[in-house]
Amino acid sequence: MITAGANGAQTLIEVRDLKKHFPIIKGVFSRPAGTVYAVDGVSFHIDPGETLGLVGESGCGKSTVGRTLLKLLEPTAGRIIVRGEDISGHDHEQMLPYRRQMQMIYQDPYASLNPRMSAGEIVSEPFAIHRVATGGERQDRVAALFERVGLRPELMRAYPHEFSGGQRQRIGIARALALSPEFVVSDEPVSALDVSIQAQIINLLMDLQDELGLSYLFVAHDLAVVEHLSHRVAVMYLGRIVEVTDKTTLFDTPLHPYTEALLSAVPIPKYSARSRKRVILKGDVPSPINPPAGCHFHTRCIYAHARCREEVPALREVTPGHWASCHLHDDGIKFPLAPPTGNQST
Amino acid sequence: MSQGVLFGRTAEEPETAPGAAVLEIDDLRTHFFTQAGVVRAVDGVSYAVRAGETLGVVGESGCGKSVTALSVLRLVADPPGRIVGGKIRFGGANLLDLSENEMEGIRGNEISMIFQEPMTSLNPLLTVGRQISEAITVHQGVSARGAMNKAVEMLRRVSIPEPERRVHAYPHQLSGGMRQRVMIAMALSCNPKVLIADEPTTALDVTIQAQILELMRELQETFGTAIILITHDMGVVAENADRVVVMYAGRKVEEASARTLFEQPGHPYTRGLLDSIPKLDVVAHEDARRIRLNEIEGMVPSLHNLPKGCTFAPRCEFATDQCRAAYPPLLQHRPGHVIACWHADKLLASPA
Repeated sequence: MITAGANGAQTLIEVRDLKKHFPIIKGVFSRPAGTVYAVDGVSFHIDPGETLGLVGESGCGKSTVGRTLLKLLEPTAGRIIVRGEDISGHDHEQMLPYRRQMQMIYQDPYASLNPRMSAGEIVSEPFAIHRVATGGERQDRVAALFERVGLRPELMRAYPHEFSGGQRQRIGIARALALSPEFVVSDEPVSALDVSIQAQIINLLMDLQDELGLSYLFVAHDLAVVEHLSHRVAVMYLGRIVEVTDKTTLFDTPLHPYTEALLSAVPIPKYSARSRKRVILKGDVPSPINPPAGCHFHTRCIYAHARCREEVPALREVTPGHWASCHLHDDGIKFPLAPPTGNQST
Repeated sequence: MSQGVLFGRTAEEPETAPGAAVLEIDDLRTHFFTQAGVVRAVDGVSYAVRAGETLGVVGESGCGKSVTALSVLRLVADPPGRIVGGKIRFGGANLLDLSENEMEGIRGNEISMIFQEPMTSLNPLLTVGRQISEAITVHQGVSARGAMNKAVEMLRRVSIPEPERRVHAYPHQLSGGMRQRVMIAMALSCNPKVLIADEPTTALDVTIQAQILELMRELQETFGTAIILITHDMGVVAENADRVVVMYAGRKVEEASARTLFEQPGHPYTRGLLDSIPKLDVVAHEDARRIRLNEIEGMVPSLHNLPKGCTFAPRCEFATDQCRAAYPPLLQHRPGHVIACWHADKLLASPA
């Protein structure tokens, strides 16, 4: 396995061969009946001020990566290194100082806010938990956070049901920023929102990054949104990262057949897009309970050959900074297709 | 379904596709009578769809796009909803004048609908074969055995592997993409003239979405079905629709051919919407100092309490006193290009 972050001194977060397996418990005697290989050996790094996008289809394990990274889920194996310190074995007590620096924004702005707490209480709760700022100072800081995320401070007394979806997501963002974290995991933060509201939240996340020097792990299924927000993008398929590189390279020269198919499946809101060449994958994503042997993607891959069915391809650096796990490149086979999109014609 | 397919329509499409309208919605008004007041969910919407054509209907949640479609099939729950005005012309009749019995002969037979969430629209207690054949026996007077054979045939048509076996499967045994294929098989089993697809791929992953849209295109070519494709996804519309209707707060604000709508949008809302969506091919080439997306200020107004004048005016950068005073008429500004905006001519003259 690789560790993409070569410049250790600069790297904020590094993940090495992270695994998260869930046992399937069945029957009255709670017998283990199988394992869900949700995250099965994932490695990446995130630099300060950088956004790493993590994209993939439902069930590929992208949200589990985010949660395991924050130790909201205990990793099954692998290492999570924050500024050089391995936190994968840290207990609750040891994690506390890290929790202040690593926060999360959730997908569902309806389910992630306690309906019995006012918006102000929700945003000030991190201060209470970590015993930071009291009384008037805490109120001032909450008010400042409200303003920063584009909510009027008078709304502090309102309850979640009084807000729209976009406003609720702003409350979730204010809560995540309360303790001035360095790193925020955003798990599908805009996918429940209407497009005109999506743009507001995306812009806010980008402004906050510029202003506060935040690093993001941006988890989403919408490749266009991910590419817009991210510096680099990692593509996941069935518990593994199949490709990582900067967003432009990923789009122009995808090195994994899955990335190629994913790029060509994303509808582009332009009339000229309808004449582009597309790869349409057959079949469904296999179950993570019983993933295919060898390369997980071989059951849907148009380029699959014998080796793909037996041997797991390693994620390796094919060109500088561009990692892909596909036997085609090991075998010296030139990637067969031209870039899948573009404005070749109108 | 072949892989690596090159598809697309010819660029030289006429501004208005030829052929007569199969279904025509004329000044439809569907209101909901709630304790908080009257919600004008659909407030004077007109559009038509022709044979073999895909009409895209786009808009954000609550704009009335789904209620319009449900009104066509007279499926709006009454109370609280009621169709209070307009006509729905189909096969020489106004569907709003038909008896419930006559409507049953239309639903699922001449006009079918597929919904966003296939799991909630399929009966979990019946095999998919039973569900498909039910429509066929009811509408076509075919024997049970004949209908089952037709069901297998339909499953094959929608590219479900091993249709003879799957016909005995229950919905929970199928994946989301397969369930949507079953829905499509069911909707097309009686060879309808019009298929209303309400967010047919929204619950699906993007690679599965591509499969389903491709399938709908293939079936449309085979059967010549008119499709009303309702979606919030501008990308899906751009790549699949021939003509597009844009809705906002219960009304149609713009209609044009897909090409015109995406290349020369005339309504400020359409423009704002298009500019607010990240476009994969563009964003991939932005540098690290990323470009901000266009924001449409504020949010969709509550249908309980619509602003006076143009409902988009409070969010519109071009709004003037005229906009705040009166709702603009829907006017044809260019052949086949209809816009409801006082400033449409000025906007059309300036590049998007």
